[in-house]
Amino acid sequence: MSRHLAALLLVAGSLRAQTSGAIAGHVRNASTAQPIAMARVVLDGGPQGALTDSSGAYRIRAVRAGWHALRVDVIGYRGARRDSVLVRSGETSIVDVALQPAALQVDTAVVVEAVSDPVLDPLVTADVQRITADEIRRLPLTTLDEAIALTAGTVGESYRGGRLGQQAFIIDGLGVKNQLDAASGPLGVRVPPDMLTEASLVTNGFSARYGQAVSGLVNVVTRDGGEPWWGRVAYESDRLFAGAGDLGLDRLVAAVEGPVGRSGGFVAVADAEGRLDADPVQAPPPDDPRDPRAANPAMLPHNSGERLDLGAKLRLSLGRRQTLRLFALRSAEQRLLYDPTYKYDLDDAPAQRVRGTLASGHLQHVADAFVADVRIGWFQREFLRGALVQPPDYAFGAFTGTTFRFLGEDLARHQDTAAARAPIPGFGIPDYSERTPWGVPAFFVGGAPRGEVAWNRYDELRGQLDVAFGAGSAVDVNVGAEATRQRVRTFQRVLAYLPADAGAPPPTAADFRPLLGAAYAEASLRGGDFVVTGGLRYDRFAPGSDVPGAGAARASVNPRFAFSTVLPGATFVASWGRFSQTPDYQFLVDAAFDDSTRTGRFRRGNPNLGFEHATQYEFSLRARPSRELTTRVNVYIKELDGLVASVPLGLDPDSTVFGNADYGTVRGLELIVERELRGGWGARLAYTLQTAQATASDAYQLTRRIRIDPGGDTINPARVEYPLDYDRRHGLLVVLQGRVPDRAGPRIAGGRPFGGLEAAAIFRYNSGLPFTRTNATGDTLVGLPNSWRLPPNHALDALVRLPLRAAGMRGAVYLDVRNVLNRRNVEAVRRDNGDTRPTEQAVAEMADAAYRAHPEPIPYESPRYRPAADLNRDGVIAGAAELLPMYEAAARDFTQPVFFYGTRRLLRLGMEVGF
Amino acid sequence: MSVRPRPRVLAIAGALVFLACGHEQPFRPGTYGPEGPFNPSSLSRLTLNPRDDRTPAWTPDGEWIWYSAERNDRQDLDHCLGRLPAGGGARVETRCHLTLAAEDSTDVLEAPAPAADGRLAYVHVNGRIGAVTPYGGQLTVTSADGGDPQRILRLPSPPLGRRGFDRATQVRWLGGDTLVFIAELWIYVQNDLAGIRDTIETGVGIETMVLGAAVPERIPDTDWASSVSVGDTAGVLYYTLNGDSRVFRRDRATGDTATIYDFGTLGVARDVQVRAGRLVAVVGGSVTAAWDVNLGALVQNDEGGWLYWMDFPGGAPMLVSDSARFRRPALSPDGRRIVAELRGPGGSDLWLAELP
Repeated sequence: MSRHLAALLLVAGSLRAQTSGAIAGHVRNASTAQPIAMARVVLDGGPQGALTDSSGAYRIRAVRAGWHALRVDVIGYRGARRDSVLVRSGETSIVDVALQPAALQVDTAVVVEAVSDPVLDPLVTADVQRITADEIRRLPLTTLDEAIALTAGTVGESYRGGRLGQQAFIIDGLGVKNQLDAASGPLGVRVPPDMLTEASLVTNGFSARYGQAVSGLVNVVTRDGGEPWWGRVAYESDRLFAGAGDLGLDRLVAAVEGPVGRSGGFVAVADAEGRLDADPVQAPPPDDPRDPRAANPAMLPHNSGERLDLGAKLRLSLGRRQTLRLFALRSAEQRLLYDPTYKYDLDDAPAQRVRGTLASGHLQHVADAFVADVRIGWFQREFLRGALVQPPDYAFGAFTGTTFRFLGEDLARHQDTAAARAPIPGFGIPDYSERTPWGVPAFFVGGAPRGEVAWNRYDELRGQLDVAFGAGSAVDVNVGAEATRQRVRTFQRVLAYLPADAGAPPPTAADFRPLLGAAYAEASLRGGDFVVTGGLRYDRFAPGSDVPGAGAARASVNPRFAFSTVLPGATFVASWGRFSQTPDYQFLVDAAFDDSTRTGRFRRGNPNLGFEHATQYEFSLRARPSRELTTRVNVYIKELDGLVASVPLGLDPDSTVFGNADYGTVRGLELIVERELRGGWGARLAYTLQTAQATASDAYQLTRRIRIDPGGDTINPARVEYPLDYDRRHGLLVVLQGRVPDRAGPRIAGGRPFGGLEAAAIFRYNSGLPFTRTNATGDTLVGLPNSWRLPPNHALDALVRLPLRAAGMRGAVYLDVRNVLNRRNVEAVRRDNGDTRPTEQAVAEMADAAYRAHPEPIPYESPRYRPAADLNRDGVIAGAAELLPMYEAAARDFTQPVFFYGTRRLLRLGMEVGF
Repeated sequence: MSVRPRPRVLAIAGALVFLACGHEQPFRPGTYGPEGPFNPSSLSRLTLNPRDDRTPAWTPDGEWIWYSAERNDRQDLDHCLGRLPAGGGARVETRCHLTLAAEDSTDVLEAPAPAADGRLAYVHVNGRIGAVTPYGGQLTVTSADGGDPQRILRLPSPPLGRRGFDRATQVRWLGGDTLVFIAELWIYVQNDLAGIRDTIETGVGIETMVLGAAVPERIPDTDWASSVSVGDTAGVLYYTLNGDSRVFRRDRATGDTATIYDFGTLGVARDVQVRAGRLVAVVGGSVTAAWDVNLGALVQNDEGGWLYWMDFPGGAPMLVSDSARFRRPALSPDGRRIVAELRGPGGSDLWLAELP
């Protein structure tokens, strides 16, 4: 067994906490290479530390991710200090120290550079893909979500075929989840990238400490604040670019960090972004020059968005053994939502506002025998969607500086379903728009908003206790428990201009207080050349007695097991785990929601829903062929069960109810090859091959009658498995980074302006997602669900960054380009023909049907009159010869593909200054 | 010379240049309707609606014309109020009675009266679709944006020491919170054997209504009035009587009444308006007036007449058109334009006459 291998086997990293890792190594005599026992290793001059054993080995558990300092002292030797030891969560950094005997006159001790090698560390059984804040700034990435999307097996916010909302977030060890409607809504808080130490996605085998996630964990470790005081201000915009290069972007970031007292730290970040088009798409321009979109096809109106994220953290040392961390995060986002139906009456189109707050306290006690963490967190999220009281005024770019106010907002907040049965004040009755270029009453709506008011608020108070200790030199044990008290309040009203029960579904509201609980125990045993990790997690949730019809509390026991062994130059890991997730609370209660294809929908909730489950088997082989190069191969099978779906109760589509009715299987292969950034360049290649199938994809999707060709037999409901919405068979991601040395490049005007220049590129290639074909009327499927495929898509993003130094300040200028080639990726198609545009026949049929519904002439004084359509100039547009061409033009305008495409080329030019 | 400030100055200047650049803007819908009247001339047609357009009224600033338009795109045969630009063109605003319950009845909004502060008074009558007689109606006032409709007077109005009436028409503002209008009887004539179906609107007097008051008041000595208008000041009213060729002026403060003009042999005068040194009226034409012994009323059946204008005082009546019969003319505040209903076989449309 090689010394290197032996060293690895002796490495004992901590699995207990996703916010911490471990430091381990050996202390030896620099002259004789003999191990030194009883040497004292101290972390950051504080209470954490360890003594070396007879073999000179030591290990310090529960070391928070980030940079640390080590000091090694023992009688008879000169002390040694290492200031820059990087610890990553879930990993062990190896720091071997060689001490000079005190009698020898040598200036410095010899210290082996600290190495953290998650690739070969057998204690890292979880499949972890991480990114640091520094990497986010060097790559064409702006948000944490974009950074996580770089991981293999990710499709948007779907991880390994999982549905939206099947992931959980861990922020500094505290679980955070939008338990109300994660399947259809955002988390509500965003961690500004400048607050990050690192972020990682864990997709399997994750510690029994964490649950509530069937597909993956997004683990975020924030900065702790340190010495010295420093700050960064950055401004990004696309103002300087003309035409389609300017989509109304402005972003301002300010961050400050520094020491507090002798051993504390403080961090604060503000990150604000506004976009006049918050969801720019690469849709083709309209064919008809009369269409106003032809003037600027790059930007959609009434599609702006502004967001503000504020984060602050205070770390205080309460003595030698205790550290207190206080963290606060506040996010607010408000968006105007472009609705093609309201293209010509934008003031009546909907808007949305989401606000979230997270406040937490974390007390850590480090004793000789154990480390204990107590965490308390309060999370609140409020969501509101509907029509604005008045259109917003823009103060600077897309920033309004005011809070959106919505029609019916007070009614919704008070959940006054009685008052909401009457038409809500402010909502008129929408009618066909009179402002279109076509004039005819068809397709486009205006005069009043749709009539939707959707509000919900989610609060939770969570307490966590985690204890880590060793049971002998070869065993690490982690135990803990958590309890969460939640409150869910919802309100929904559709067609608010109509009285309920007179064409509109009744308003719905819910107010209940669920209770979640969990407990876990986990142990890692290190053998001769293997490591065995086993854990057990107990999850429990109760909707609360104020949910009508709710039964007893539900419980689930979830074992986790992993075995890893070290092979020559590689590590093999086999893991098996069962994961349970509480269903979104939105499925427990009735819902009334606006369905743009119909007249308002009503879905009955099921208060007796149970957990959704996944059981995953995974085999991983990780190797380091060379110092810079690492490879990973993961093969996994995940069996899904109890997924929430819509179950029909009768012939009326609105009679469906939610139930744990669906099951499926995800199988995949991931290949990841990475070259670290050394010698001026680095690269990462990740390929994923995956199939994801289940009996249904979306809990809100109706189970329709399925006609199986060619026999015409009808099966309802179907128990056939078909691809999930996120079944992306092939995914390829290539990341390239390069850096020009500081003193390289041509000398110009006495300097080297290109010294330190950094460039990065991200190339993505993905095979197409599945979709479902229907007949022309949309009520019968053609083939099995999701049996058709979208075309593949690819995109290239790039970032060029030039550091600058002037007037004593450091800074940088950077150009970030997304979708450099401006590729038009198809992300959705029409279900009736599998294309982005309707057929000419479909357009003609639409126009004809609209004309027959309104064949009346349009006189001169009508706001619908269009001079070009009055072919005989008699002051009246009448008859099929004059009216039908306008209906056809309107049909083409209405059916032009806008949201069927991915993002267009996005440019941003940024400047940052550090101080 | 020190060059140290330069990098900082350059950085600040660069940032200012950056911020000074504006953003591109997304597309916005344009304006697509016509401008100006259709085939403009001294007498041009404002509306070409195949259904009825009636009761025009100018806004006090002379910029807009409110009127009642019968919709041709709804099966409930509603009449809505529309607002046209003064020179003609496309309606810029339409106000209808749009509620869920309104879809199974005919709602007629007519006789708009815009106030200087933007409020709009009008008459709202509703009834079963296709019925000859309505359920009832009301005199309504809304705020400038069309919201907050307030019922001022329920119709029909019962006898209150004088004859009751069915409808209100020729509604005008007297200033402040007072309205004046013609109280009308509506007589429904139906003879299915003869295939006759007709409605006769005949004035029975001039009423004033203070907003918030319980009941309207009859102006003395105005029984059987056929039209009323307000002069250049709110203290003066001009009116005509059924079957009479004279135009009367009444001082509201003193009650003094005088004949200011007699059209004599030209015929029965009605629909009079006097302002800005001009007088307009409909005279003669297809109009009859007779005492109805059953109703005990002087009933005037008016199918339209000749539209006259004249400088007043001192001018002679000038015919706007010798081939078209009009009703309910509206004289612009500057006295230079007349908008009136032109009665034809298919119904009525609005026409605009430019005066010299």
